[in-house]
Amino acid sequence: MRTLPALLLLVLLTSCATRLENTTLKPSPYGGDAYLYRADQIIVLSYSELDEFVKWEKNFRALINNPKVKAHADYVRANARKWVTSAIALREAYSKIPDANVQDELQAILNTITEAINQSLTYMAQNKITINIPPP
Amino acid sequence: MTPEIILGIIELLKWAVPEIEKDIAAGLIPVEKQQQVKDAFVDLADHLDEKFSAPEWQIDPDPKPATPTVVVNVNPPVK
Repeated sequence: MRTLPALLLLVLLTSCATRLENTTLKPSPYGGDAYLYRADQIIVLSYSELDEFVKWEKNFRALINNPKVKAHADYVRANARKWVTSAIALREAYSKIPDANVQDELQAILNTITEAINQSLTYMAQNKITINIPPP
Repeated sequence: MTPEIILGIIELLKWAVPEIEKDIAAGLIPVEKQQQVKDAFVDLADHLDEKFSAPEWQIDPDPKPATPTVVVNVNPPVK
């Protein structure tokens, strides 16, 4: 198992292990700011993961046949846009004025998204769908 | 931080970490990789409407429970 504290730090955007290439010849699109880079990466990955979950739930709803899974998917559907929009807005605010308060707010919204992803992954693990396609 | 949040972060890491681990292994994130992440972020930010309008993001109504069928004989009995 991976070492939790180190990984926790990574996901919590402390990103001290990350260094961005940033030279005169090859300037960083982030101006060398590893926090911004990591924030963008996590926001993009979070959307992808939630999108995968709601697709999975819609495609296999009949097979899953569990109202709790649909309820969670609908909770994600109802809130994900708000979460992602807030994360993007806070990330933009941080890029203009790197402020600890904004950083805290961004962290809070990413924690909310993380909890939703956690529940989604739990449901996906509990309801593995196996499709047997007969050979031709 | 509650145990639920820690568990959530562990689960999140299962998919997020391989990407991050590659970054660490590289030591220094090349500009090209940074640009890929930035492009993906800009694409997401610029197409939020489109992305959240996809069919999988629409809330389908819950199926209504089947209601018993009541048959009413409106014809008067034939005498």
